[in-house]
Amino acid sequence: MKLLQYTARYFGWFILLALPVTIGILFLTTRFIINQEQNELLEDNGIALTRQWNTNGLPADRVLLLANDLIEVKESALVPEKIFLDTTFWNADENEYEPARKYIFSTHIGQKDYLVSITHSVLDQEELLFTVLVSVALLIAVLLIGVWWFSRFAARRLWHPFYASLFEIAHFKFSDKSSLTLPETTVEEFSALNRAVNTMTKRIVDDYIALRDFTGNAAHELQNPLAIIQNKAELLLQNDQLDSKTLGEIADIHRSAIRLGRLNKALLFLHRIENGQFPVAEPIDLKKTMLEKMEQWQERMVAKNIAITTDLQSVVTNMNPELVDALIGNLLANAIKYNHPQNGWMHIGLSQEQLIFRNSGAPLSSPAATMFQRFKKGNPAQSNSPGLGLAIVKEICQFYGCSIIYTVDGEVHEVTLGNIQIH
Amino acid sequence: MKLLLIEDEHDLATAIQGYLVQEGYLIEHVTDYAQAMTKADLYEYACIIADITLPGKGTGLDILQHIKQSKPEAAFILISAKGALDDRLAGLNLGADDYLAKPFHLAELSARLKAVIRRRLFSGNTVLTYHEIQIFPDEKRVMVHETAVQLTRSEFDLLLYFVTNKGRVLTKEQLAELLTGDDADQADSHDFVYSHIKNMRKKLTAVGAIDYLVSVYGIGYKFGRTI
Repeated sequence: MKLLQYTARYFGWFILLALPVTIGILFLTTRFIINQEQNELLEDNGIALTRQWNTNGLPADRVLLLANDLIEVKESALVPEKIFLDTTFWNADENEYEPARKYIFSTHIGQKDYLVSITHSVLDQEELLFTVLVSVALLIAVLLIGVWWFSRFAARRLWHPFYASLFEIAHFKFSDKSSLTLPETTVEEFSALNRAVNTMTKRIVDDYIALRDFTGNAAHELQNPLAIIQNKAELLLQNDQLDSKTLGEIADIHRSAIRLGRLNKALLFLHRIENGQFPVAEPIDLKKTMLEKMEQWQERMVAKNIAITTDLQSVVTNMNPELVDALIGNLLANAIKYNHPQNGWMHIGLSQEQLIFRNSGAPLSSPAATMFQRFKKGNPAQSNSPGLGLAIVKEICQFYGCSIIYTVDGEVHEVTLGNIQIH
Repeated sequence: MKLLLIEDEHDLATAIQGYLVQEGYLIEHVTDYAQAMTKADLYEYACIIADITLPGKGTGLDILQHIKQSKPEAAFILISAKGALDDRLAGLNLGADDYLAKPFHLAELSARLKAVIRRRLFSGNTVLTYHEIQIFPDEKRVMVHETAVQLTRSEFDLLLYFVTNKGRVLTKEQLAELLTGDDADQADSHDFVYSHIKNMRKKLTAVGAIDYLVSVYGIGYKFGRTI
């Protein structure tokens, strides 16, 4: 969940809690004030009635309706305190009960004690209270929602430079060579963050480029000495003055020089892909390249007696021919090399969406995803190959933005390339 | 036959020279552009072997460009430490007859050199003969005692390599590389080479050829038996 959503959520909870509490307090205080008012009014009425009855004598009816107030007079010896009650009141005109305030008090009229109750309709006051509450609630709600919305809006504006920086960082690639330059913003914290990230990436990019160039230069500089070792060894192998033990040792030197040469060549190739030294792309039919490569590996497949099935569609993509050659060549070579020594199987599927190599082979000793790492071997005992084939494949895929997944299910290996159509 | 070798790496040049002298070539070695131009303008060479990267001004490609105009009859082989396809294509487009990326096998250089000279001097219509074995490189055909031998592509490539490098010790790695390119590091590639050699031997001896292949224990093979 986003930071903004978190703030909004807390704010929402606060509103949900604050709104009823505020309205409750408002209700109680308003109600208290109204009741106080009513009580005073009723007390005044009571005093006025007592005074009138003392002068004019008690009315004939002991229950009478006077100016919408219901007045009851009872002879009573009891002298209660003044009592105020909430009650209801039957309005015959409206034909309904109405909320009312009842005032009970004792008084002394002409030598006798009376208990008098005055019931006064408070319908108007209740309506007023309701109207006040609703309008105040509306006001608070509008205010709170307004504040909430505004804070969201403000936060979004304020956080915008942060999200912009985040986007830049997420889309930053070391291989693009340029270092990251995040802009200055008006928010001090974000500016500080951007500056820190800028400095950090600049240092990393510089290190990365230096390391990459070092690999490339080292590999290139190694070619000549390697050629000398290899060729001198070849020359020595022709020398019939040497005994067979010496010749065997020279053959070992020769073999190692060849291995080193191959490793170096693969590293140089990787280096050139990373440096974008394969810019020229042309329309290439992957099916055609695949068939050529299969023809090239035909004898090896026959020698290992691999059962091969294919489902190839013609797929035209825009890539560099040398890279396509390396891509398909390496995948096919792997499917053959790491297959069972005899009687394995292989399936190649090529459609507009994806290219799949599925083959039998010994289970991997490390997770399939790590197979794309340089110098990583599926089964170290099995080969003396440098383990750069899949790294090259991965690098080519990255160069063209294709996806690549390697999965292993027991003895079934599958490499899937997606997004293979480049325009 | 006279060759001009333009290579600034002295040790590499002596190795190449050492190998090719045994093949009967006469080799002149220079180390930079200026010397190369002087030599190339003054003398005639059957083939010029030039490294692309040279010290000072002027690369192997510049020499190639110049030679193609002044002495178009000379064969030209480029060697380079770069190995990039672009270099290779640039060289071949400028008229180089072949291109070899360092490090290469001396046997490979020798075979390419022979093929280039053969193509130049005899317009390709040549027969390589080794006693009773006749090889027609361009038609990929082999005859023994006037009988055609049906060889697979790998078997033919092996035989041609053996005959052009007759009397030379060729290692198993070298042969595996010839057949399977860069994937020769695989454990099964040696079995693969072995089975092809076995089949080639069988097919040749079946039509009456002498088995000229000598295996050099622990190292590889040598073609050519002194009988």
